[in-house]
Amino acid sequence: MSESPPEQLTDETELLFRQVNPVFVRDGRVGSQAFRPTPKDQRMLSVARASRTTAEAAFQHHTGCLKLSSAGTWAVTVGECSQLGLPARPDEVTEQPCPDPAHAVVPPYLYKTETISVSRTGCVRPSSPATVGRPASTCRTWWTTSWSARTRS
Amino acid sequence: MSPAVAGRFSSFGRTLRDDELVVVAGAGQREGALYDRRVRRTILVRSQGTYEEDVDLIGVVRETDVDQDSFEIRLADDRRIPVRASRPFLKQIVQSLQRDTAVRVSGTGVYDAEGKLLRVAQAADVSAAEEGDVASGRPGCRIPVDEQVDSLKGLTDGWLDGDGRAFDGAALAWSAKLLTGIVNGFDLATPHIYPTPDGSVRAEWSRPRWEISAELDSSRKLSEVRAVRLDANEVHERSFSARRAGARGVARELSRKPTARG
Repeated sequence: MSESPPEQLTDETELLFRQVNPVFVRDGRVGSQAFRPTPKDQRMLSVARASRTTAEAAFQHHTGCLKLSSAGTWAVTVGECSQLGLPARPDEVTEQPCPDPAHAVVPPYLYKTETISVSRTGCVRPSSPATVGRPASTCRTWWTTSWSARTRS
Repeated sequence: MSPAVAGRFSSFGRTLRDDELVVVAGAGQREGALYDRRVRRTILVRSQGTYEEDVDLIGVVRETDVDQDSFEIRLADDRRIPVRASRPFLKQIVQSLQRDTAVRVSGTGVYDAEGKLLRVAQAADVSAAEEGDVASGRPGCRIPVDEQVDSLKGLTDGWLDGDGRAFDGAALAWSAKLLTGIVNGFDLATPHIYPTPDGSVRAEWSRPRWEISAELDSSRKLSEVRAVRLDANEVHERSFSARRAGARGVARELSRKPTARG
């Protein structure tokens, strides 16, 4: 990861793409582990900004250039993260051989109960006390798996 | 492949289970093309965009249209699925609607390319759901607990793109036994089970308003049960020794409100 610029992402509707390791997809349901930073991430959740890339390009970058595993691209919005008190910020990677102008990070969880979980229907939704008054029915039902399924078949 | 030919695959192999396949071999031969659920789905999706499979659902009736012989069932995860059913079932359906009680519907489900259930093309049976009923298909995971846990044996050190520890066979056996005891003993929905990078086994249940998880740390024989309400400021968390409490203790936590029942 490069030096982190201080600014936060402000477009609350912007999608943040997350590559999901195949072990975190079980019977079509994505587990909450997929949205937890790994030790390698330095406890920052790596995502890609939809304003700078596409779901498919993010997948190709992850599996092609970085040679990492992914079952497909899922997403949360900047707004969903900020509701949890997790301000996403740009973190452009300029180093070769895999520069990534779309790279962004979501900071470490502030509290143990703040997590982002993904329902079995593929709907990405935050689950936290910070979502007070926000019915589950309003969660987003946005998918990027259709294209990744095609590339796998 | 012409639509007419592809259409024939709609009935061929519809009752195949995940661990079954058909070998299409010539006369007197034992080897040939393999035909299983995945192949069938691929053929049908490519030819007609959807595929049909047997379905078993539990939910409450939300709308009926007697003239159209159809009704809508709302599942535990809030999905509303249109169902076509013949007249003999309508009495049960109207009764369920009036009493707001759950029904069990089995029949032919129509799925899209992503495996999402779109509708029930024809109900073969509709009955009152009994206490503790769990749909055999969804919403729980369709893969048995022991099979899910067993699949973690294949993860070697670094399985998570360099992070993640390999799982010890004894630890997995302990986790499988505990979770199977919980699920079978208390008629819970089959959880979705995932590995964690630090070597724990994590079981998750999604409910309409709750996300529930149990993380089993075999090295410390510790289980952490956690439930987060999605539409309110409510979190339940508890860590306890699974060595002392065993499956019954973990199940008690899961059987409390919020329930993990399917």
